[in-house]
Amino acid sequence: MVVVDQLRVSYAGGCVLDSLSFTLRPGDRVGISGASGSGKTTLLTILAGLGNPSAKVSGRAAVAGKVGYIPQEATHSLSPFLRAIDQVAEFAKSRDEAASLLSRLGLDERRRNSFPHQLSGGERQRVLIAQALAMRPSVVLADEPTANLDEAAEASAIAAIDDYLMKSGGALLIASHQESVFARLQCRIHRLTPFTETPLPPAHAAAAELLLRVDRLTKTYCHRDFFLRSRPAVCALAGVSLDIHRGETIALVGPSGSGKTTLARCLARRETWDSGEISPGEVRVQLAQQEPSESLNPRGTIAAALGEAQASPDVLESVGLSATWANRRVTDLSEGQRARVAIARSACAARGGLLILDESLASLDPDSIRAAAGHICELQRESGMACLLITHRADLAQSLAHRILSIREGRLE
Amino acid sequence: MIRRALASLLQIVAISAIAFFLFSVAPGDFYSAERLSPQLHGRSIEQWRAARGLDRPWPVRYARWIESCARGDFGTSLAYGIPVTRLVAPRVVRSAVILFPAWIFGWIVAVCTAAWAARRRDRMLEPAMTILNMSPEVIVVSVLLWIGVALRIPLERAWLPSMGLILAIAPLVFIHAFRAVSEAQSANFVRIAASRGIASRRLWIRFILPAAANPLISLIGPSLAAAIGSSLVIEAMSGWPGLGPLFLEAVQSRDYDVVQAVVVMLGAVLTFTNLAADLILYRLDPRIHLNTDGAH
Amino acid sequence: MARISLIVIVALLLAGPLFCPFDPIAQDREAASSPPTIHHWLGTDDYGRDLAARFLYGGRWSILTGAAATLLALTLGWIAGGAAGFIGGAADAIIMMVAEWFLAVPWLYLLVAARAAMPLDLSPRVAMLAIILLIAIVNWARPARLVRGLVLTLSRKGYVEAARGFGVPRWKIFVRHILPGTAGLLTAQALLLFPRFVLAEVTLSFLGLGAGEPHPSWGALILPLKQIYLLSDHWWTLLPTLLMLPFFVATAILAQGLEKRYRLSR
Repeated sequence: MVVVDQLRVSYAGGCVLDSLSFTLRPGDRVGISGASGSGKTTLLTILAGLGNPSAKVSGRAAVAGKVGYIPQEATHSLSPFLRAIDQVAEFAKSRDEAASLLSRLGLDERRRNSFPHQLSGGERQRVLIAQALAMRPSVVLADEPTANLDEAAEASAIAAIDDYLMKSGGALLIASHQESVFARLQCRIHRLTPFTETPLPPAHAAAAELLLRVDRLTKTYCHRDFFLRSRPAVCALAGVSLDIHRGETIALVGPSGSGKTTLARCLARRETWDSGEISPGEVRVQLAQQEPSESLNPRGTIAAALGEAQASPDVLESVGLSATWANRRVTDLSEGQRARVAIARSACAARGGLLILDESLASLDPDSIRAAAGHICELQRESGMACLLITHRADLAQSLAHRILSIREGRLE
Repeated sequence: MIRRALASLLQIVAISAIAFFLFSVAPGDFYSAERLSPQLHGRSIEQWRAARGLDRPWPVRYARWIESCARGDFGTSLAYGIPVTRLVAPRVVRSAVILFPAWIFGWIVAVCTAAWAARRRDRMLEPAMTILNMSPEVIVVSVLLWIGVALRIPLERAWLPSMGLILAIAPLVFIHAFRAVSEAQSANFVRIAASRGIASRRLWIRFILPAAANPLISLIGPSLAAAIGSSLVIEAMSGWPGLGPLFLEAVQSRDYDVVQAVVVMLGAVLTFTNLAADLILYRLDPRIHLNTDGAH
Repeated sequence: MARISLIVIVALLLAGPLFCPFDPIAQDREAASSPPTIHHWLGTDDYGRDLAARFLYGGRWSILTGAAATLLALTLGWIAGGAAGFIGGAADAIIMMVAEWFLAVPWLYLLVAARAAMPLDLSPRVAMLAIILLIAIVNWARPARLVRGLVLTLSRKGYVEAARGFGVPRWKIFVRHILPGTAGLLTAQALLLFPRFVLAEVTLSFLGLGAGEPHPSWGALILPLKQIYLLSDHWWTLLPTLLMLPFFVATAILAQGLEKRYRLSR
């Protein structure tokens, strides 16, 4: 069904997959695991015939029969002009079949007749699963199909995929960072990179002195209706209370849309909140955003970027770069190097206060993570800075943080 | 949407005020241009001016003019001595007879060609259309005239201004349509739908065309504005007795009532076209209800 | 290729008059209405004026007018759009509403109407200034809207948010991060507007609202096209019109390339 032979894929930035070989026969189920950036998505898109044209591909990757591809990114993968039911019915034998598939995945009548922008990320994800199963593929390629789903939805999605494979005898190739999903689908596991814990500097003991108290914070996003009256639309924070102590690192985990980023933006006072209190108000809070490398103006120099945060070029040394690099242009640095500079300068500006990393480490290579984490630890020891780490990577949360909090639907658990 | 409509009304009033103000501050009027005419004497010019109220300050005249416009009276042509409505209406009809068929035909041809070219991933047509789009109407029409003379086609017919207009509209629409369809074709959801083995016809009808229609609907208004602008030159060159030649004549003899009426009328037509395009977009794009309704 | 030919054309038109042995206004009744000869390369018109000289001098006139109008319109649009994007709120709403008004009337009609508000018999120099000013005033709205949109997009960029987080003052962010970002848009717009404004000048002259006779201008050179039946006898009067085409084609190709590059770089 699927034959991959000596596949090698490289982008301008470097090689993603090298001499990869495996085969799938009907009924085979294979789970692909690997750290982010290890080429899981690249492999699946190439098999689905949607490979990035800028990638250089050599070797063989062939699929026989129909391919049902479930992409990871659900926002742009559905047509904004079709209702959920139509998105699926377009590929199914009949409308009824589409409806029953969607209801099995937990989408009720109202959801089925909604447009994608009215659905949550998890619901869109399930529409994509239904779409892929409705076309009766002989191979299902799934890329993190359960990443945005809560437990009930995850269970129904896994059951639906499992059922389909039992009935049709098709093959499955699934990529995920949760190995539990592989077990529940009885997959053979194929690791793209050896499973290693990223060695990180040990977290030091935190002081008990309170830095910041968050008290019953609520925030609701509104939209305006036809007559321009504002209507509550999304409840982002529903009474979040949290104490942050000097020198500690807190990891905040939770599915997308659970209010992580809203909490971070409120703490950094980039957004107002409806009720509740963050005290004291004068603590310095710095928010390092999701793509740290983008927080440097590509037209400027490193020195100018550091100057904005009143950071001296010496901080470059502490993240493993040379202080003489200050005169280089931002575009002369690689993505990872830019990210290190960006995180280092945010950390400097947050000295003695709170540094929030909003998935800032997620896209970095291990070396950069190590360098950035080391720098942050040093600052924590030296100035009593606290760090709020928002991440979906369990390994990072476990090794860097003193305590892990999870947030779901605007509530801390 | 209600606010959007109100903004459109305000826009028409504003255009009328701009048009009126422009001519009120302008040095000279119809009678100073007629100064040397043997039918008028020095004293009677002042009398004429007083009779038409041209000696009052401009806000007073504007208020009066707006009031009479509301009654459907756009004033009287000074050059012809007949009501502007009676002068302009037949010219508008003559222009519209050429303009709208050419506009619609240009759209159809352009969109079909663009979809065809995008489907074939043709790379030659787009630069060619860009050149045609940028080439001046004056030159396009003169080439047409040249062909007409060479082939001994009678020039009095409507074919010349129609062809000129189509050649002015189609490339503009083509460029945007080609871009829209190409972008829709490479959109993520279209590529994924295609990878699921959907029939090409269904893919086009259900996925590509709705996505490509969006930017094109916003082009309706600007393309009509471009067509009207081109028609000014094209009618003047081809001698088609539409609105364009009347407008130029009125401009040269400073017959301001006519100029004002034409500017305000065109402004109103285009404002309503834009409003209609927005309404269509509002109906067609499910996302607008949630996102931008409050933004206007 | 297009770039080189455009440079050559513009250089030729700017410097050409220096090498031209004829005065574009001097009449030579002896040689009136003569087809191209070794002497008069493009022939002469009814008054015996050398058409090649009129083409070169007229081209210089039209292109300088177009360039100045482009510069002025973009400056106006840049200031208005930048101010709207920077100040935001009510000022933004008002500026954009006024821009909307200017976009609602076909610009050629507006231009002609505005030109009509001025005296017809102006000296060429004053007429040139007036035309530059009018073209700019009628056309500031589109660049303004684009600049404002870009300013808003840029202010959502990661590096602007970051700078804001570090407490950098607003005006400093604007000057350092946002204004330089509009350069690409302005260049692409300049190349798009330049031929259009040259054409606007040509059209105004053609409609008798330009510099006026006997001043040479490309618009005046197109005038014989109005008497189409004369053309079959005086075919050479079409030559200047055909010679104008390379300029428009070269700018069109260049503008398209630049716009595409700009769109991709975003």
